[in-house]
Amino acid sequence: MNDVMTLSQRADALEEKMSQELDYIVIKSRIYSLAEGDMSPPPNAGAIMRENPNARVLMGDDPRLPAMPEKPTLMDFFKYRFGPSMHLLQSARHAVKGGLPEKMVLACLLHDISTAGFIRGDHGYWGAQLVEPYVDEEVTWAIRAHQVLRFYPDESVGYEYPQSYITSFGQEYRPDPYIEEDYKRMRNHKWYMSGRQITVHDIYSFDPDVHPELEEFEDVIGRNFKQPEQGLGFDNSPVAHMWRAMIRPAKYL
Amino acid sequence: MNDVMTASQRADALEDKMMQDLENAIAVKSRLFLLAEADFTMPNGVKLQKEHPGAKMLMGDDPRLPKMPDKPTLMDFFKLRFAPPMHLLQSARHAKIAGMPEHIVLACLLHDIAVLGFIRSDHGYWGAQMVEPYVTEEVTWAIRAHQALRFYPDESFGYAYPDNYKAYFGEDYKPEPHIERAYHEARAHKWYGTARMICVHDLYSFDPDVHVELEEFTDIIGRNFRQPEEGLGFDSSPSAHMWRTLRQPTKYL
Repeated sequence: MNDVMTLSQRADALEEKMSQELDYIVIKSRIYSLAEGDMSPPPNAGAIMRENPNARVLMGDDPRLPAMPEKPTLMDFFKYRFGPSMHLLQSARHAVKGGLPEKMVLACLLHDISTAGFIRGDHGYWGAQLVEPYVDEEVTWAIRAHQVLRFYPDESVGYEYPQSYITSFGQEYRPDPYIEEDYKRMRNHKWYMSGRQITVHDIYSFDPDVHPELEEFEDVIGRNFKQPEQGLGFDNSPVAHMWRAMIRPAKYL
Repeated sequence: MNDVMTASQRADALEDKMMQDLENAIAVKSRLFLLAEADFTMPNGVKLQKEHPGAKMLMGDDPRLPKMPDKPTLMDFFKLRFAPPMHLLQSARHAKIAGMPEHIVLACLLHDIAVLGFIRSDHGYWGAQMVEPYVTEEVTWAIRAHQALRFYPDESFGYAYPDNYKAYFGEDYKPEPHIERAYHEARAHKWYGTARMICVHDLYSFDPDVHVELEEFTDIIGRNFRQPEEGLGFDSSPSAHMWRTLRQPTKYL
């Protein structure tokens, strides 16, 4: 280990290397830095440009990421931006086998898209917000609720507190008060059971031999996800910019 | 630079340092944050816990970041999460000195909060989404629109295309079609003048001798920003989870 070089020196060296190689400058967004525990002021793009006269801040496609079609579909995001989606595919197939209606199969297919492609913390709320303009209100509601309901058992449907949560968060972990309050609200909602169904089909013991393909759900998506003609990110919906952030996560402005 | 240390050794060293800083909790980066670094790995909690026996996935405050009050206000986010806000403070004071009404001063004070505190790309849209439940519709609209309007001069307001945009993006840079569309829509909107005033007061040539304090705007915030009693993040508003992510950017789920 190089003890002489501090973490920030190392970051500077990487940054310098990057701008030399790429002729463009990436300034990290604040939330990306905060997630590294870094509270320092952002680097000054103007100063970096003075040292690299040919470099520009990144405003177009990020050459480091797979190119996306001009009018990207939900499937394109699965393929070009999201992490491995086997968990979602297995959940959705599980729901099909459980005889759930199509919109609930879609809810299972999408319930963790924020974890797979966007932001982990409060992934139910983020995921619901991402899909809200494109799916049935009940699907949005259920995706938001599943994050909360996962912490609370419901014997009536055979749902227990997940063993994996005990491992991940400890035996003594208690959900935050806002989760507790939302749970009480959701427990009494007319769509409670839709949110609950996602948790029932939210399976973690993967069968390594089961490999559903995304294409298995092409028709379910086609019938239940209102894919905008202009492409996700370019339809002027209230969440279009969120999809654009996934297309170009390092865009300067 | 230490050429002996491989990238993966360096990553391990960083991980060990992180574990110490986090008091034996494991923080992982969200997919979006990793994509911004062109990192396609997907952190595996199970594997990380095996490598660090006894450590739990982080579900609470990140000890690397300043502690926030239980019921945080907008001022708390300025102080404990955002990057230095001198640009916003100078803009707001500029608007105040020019005799702008309070809601426009507030719009100037908040117009770049997504750059300072969240995601740079499409910062007008992100900023508007964050404050929408707490300010007038006109302020939200103006914050959203200012991002597109900045690319288009308007002589009647004495607003020229910014010189620093030429330097940052190149002489030949043309805004994308969706920004062009947003401009035309905004140009015909009844609140066009409000958004345009943000551009007019969007000072980028900082006077290093002018130091504005946030407290100068305490009353304007008090009268024009509906601070939720429960604290930003805990009022069940449509953007509450966005403020919670800013509070705990490494929350596991």
